[in-house]
Amino acid sequence: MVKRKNSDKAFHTVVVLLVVTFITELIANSIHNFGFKTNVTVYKIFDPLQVILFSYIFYHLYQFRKLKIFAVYACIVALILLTISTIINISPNVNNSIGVTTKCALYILLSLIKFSEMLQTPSEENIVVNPTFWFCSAVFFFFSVNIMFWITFNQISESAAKNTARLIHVYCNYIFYSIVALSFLLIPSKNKLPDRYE
Amino acid sequence: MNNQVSTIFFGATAIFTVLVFFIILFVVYYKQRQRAHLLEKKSLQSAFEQEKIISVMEIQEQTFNEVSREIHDNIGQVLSLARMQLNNPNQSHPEAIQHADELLEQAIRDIRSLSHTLNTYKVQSMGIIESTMQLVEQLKNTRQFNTIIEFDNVYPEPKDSHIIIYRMIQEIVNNIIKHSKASEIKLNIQTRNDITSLTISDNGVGFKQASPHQGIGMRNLAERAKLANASIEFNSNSGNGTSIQIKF
Repeated sequence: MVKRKNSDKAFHTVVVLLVVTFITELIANSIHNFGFKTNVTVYKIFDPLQVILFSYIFYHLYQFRKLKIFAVYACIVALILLTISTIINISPNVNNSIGVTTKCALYILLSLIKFSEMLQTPSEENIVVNPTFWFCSAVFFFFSVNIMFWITFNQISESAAKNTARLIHVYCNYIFYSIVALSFLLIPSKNKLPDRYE
Repeated sequence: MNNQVSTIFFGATAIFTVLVFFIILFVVYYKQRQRAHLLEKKSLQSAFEQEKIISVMEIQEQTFNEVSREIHDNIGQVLSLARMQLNNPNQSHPEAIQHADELLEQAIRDIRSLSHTLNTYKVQSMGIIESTMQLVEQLKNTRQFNTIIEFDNVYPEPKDSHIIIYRMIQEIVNNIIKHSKASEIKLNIQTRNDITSLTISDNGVGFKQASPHQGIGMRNLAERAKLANASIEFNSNSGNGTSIQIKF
């Protein structure tokens, strides 16, 4: 019987995540263009969905059962924190960074755990052509920059350098999506590597 | 304003550098671990190969001993008896020839049986299931055992390791004949999800699993199973028969 490898499921979920992100950004941009005061509500809906999808991706990337369980619990805790931050900050953009910082911290933690798992179980494959490595690097890099951005968000948004910060944030997005695209390019073709099935 | 922009710019550069440095450090450390892992794997592989060679030699040695014993105890005895019959001055000539002829026929039968037992080509051509069923059928022909064969008509793909498994089955059957005092032997073969499970059970005297003598035999079979990438499970109690299951 041919069974799909977990990394296949993870990368399928990444596609779903990218589609959801694209739709969210499109809606948020439209709301902004229509002249609404804020579009933060869209992100309040998107954030829990993103947490669930990222946890699901890492759940499938992890090999050890205890780490899979950790991903589930971390997802639940992050969702609770996101809900609390939403309840206590109904008005938009006031301390909005708490919830977002929580989810960034979660993604950094999940990617670091995956890095440590990779070190514990090194494969014979070259790490530089390993799509999981590039995906984790992208997540770690992007959300590490993001967390700094959101931690200092309230200070930056009132400072003169807010445009520079936003520009850096935008470039980070480009880097993130480029590395994710690279990881997709590195996924070996099913015909070339039948051992991707177990 | 310029000062704030510079701070943000340098801050971001510092973060970028640290993150890139972390990823490079990870790759370097990973490569080190990978090299160590490969070395360990190689040494384990060579140890396994060595163990495999030793086990194959042990199996060969055991087979030679069995052949030698069989020739000495059985065929040698029968041929000596035939010779004695022919050289016996007290017996009438036709009677001696007839007796010697019977003994020679028995010797030929024993040699043929021995040859069949040792022939690996039979296992390769017929497959392990058919060969095992034939082995158990032979026991039925002795009329000392009642044999029951249950199987689900699925045959595994032939592999080199099946010879080792077949030799294990031969040893199990030999042990049943020699030690079990059983009247019934049951063979059950099932294949589920590419795993063939072969169970040989008897209604004999069984054995205490803690017995040191039986322990050596079981360990020997377990080592062979490991060699053939199979698993073996013993289930026996004094007076309650024995059931041995091999999965491959």
